[in-house]
Amino acid sequence: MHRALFFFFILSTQTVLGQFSLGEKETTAKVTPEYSAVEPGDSFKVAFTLNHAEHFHSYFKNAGVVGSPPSVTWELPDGLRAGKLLFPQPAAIRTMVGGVDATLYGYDGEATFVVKIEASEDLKVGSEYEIKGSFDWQECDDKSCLMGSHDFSFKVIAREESLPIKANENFFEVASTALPQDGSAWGALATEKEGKISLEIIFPEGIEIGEPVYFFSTDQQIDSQAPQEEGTLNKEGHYVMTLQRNQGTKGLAIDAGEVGESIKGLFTFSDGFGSSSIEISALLPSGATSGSGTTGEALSAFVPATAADRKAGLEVYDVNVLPEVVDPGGSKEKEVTFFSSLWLVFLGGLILNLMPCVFPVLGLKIMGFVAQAGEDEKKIKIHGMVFGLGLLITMWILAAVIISLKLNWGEQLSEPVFLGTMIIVFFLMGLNLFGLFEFGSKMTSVGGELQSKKGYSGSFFSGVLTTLVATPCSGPFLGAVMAFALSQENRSIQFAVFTVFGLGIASPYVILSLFPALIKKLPRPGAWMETFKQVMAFFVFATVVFFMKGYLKIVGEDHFNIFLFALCLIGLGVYLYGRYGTPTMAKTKRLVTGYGLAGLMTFGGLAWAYSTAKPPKQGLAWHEWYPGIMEISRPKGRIIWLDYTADW
Amino acid sequence: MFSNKEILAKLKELNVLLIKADNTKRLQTISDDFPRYGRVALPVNVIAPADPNAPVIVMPEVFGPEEALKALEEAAKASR
Repeated sequence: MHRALFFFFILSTQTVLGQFSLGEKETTAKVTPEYSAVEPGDSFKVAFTLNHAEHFHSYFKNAGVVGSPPSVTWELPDGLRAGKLLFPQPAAIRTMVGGVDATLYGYDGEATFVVKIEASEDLKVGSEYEIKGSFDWQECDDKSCLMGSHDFSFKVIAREESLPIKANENFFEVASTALPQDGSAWGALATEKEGKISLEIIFPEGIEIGEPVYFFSTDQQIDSQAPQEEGTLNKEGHYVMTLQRNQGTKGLAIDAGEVGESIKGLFTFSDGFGSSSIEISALLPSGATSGSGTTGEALSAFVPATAADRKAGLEVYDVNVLPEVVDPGGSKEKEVTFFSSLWLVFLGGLILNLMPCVFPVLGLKIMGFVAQAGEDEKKIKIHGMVFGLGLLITMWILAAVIISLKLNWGEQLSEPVFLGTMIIVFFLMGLNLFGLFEFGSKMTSVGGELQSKKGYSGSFFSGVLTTLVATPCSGPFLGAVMAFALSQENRSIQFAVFTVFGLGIASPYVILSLFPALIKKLPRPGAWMETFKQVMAFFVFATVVFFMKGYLKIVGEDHFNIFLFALCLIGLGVYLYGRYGTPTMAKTKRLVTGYGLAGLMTFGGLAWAYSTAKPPKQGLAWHEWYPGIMEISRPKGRIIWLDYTADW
Repeated sequence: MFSNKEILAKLKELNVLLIKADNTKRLQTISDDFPRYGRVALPVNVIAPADPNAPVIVMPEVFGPEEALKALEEAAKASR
């Protein structure tokens, strides 16, 4: 039961937070293994997928500019060996680096990197092997760079026969099309004259080289900043393109590439279906001019691409051995469906009946129905139904009021104000559950009068008032439900939330009136209810903490600190109200301390909190450091203050 | 340091480019970078004159607004 309520709060908070995207959209990483079980001696792939935040990119193994490509740090058990990170086909991205136009080699949107894991023959069949590590990358937009990191761990079992994870098959098929293709039937030759490198590519029959063509240098010998021109077919039918040697670009801190004996890179072209890429290593004869007849020698050996080498016929599928992929990137987001959340709202309503101010009434109410109806079970049932109806109608009225309020004010409530309000509401709810203060004690007597009416109308109003009368407890609950409803966009869903909450409250009454004999089975009201209430308070404070995390992100540290003090002041205010604002206190004390001072503090705190419910003040325009930033920035002729710092 | 009015005014006047390398998360790239200024531990503050060839000023571990102002003046002089 506690768990359920806890989830109910977490759910409502998540929904609220989900509505207001906190901060900027972040780049996320995902790790996908190809196999769940591997045969000793076999190999399988692991894919690392980056979903870049808008305007952000990561780098190819040759970034083209100053930048670091992604890398994987492995923690592998004995018997497993990881190959090198295979980079998918990059794009030549136009951007700004340190205020200068630049072309970089990298990725935006979604990009999947692949690593092949080889299992040795010594793996013990039946044993489980845990693969752990961290996937790190640098990502930049035109102004700043970030370092991203994603820890992963998953398990693979050694078995007689390897087991691909069926659900990931398509994914790997698509991912492998972006990787360099098998280039064993290709050849290439390079010649250089005055900084211009002519690359001659001999391709197998049946292949058509279509535009756009691009040669991504991987040894930095080709100038990444020079535009590449379309190539032509020579008389032998080979594709020839001219490239610029990389002499260095000072403004971007790009060094000249070391002159090598061959030109290495990724040749990308359109094969009529899509973009394809081949890894090329073209011998560069040092004697500059080379004849065309030296085929055997000049044709280089090609780095064989990683073709899909999964054994054919291994279509076994075993759901029970799906490996556990730990993904802190939040893959659980979509799991809470609308219906499961409604179920929790229902539980919330049900639990409300256990609160000390409601629970004792529950049995009495039913007894009241029984007393009024005598032994006529049919009448008892009608009383129960009418009671439930009264409750539902109250909820609907409440829903209508709140929804119309939202229509009028909702858009004007800025994000931090809304979230701050939620924190304060939950904070007060927690204090209230601790018994620090109560409110609305007068309403109980008002309710008493109306409820004393006889007949079905009596039952109806009794239903109407059950929630309202019990405000000391139900108020905070309603707050949570309102938060949840407000966070829903669709108006009919908002309505449904209230309806279900009402049904949750009404259900014990209805059930008990259907089966009056069950009343005897109810636990007696007693001290356990107080304990229950106070335990609940901790769950509520957990919710407060959860909200605060998001709030801190929005308003920044300075405003958040003030907010915390404001919260203390509000707490003190309601404490004074609870302590001195009761009718048992002497009148002056009650008025001065219980109302006056308490009110001053509470509203002062609220005003204080409100005044800081906004995004952080604009401070100095700090630029985020990235490797090479000094080299790029210094030639610009500005004084630079570089501050290496840490929050510890 | 960066709430001192004089410093703020000076930074603005000299159009200083501010770069922050936050190593709270202990990034290898940052840890590998600052030792070139002859330091082994954070914090490290470096003020580079506008002339790319002028030597940089490495601030002491602990310094006040006065030292910072002096260093900025020096950097401005070296820039001319």
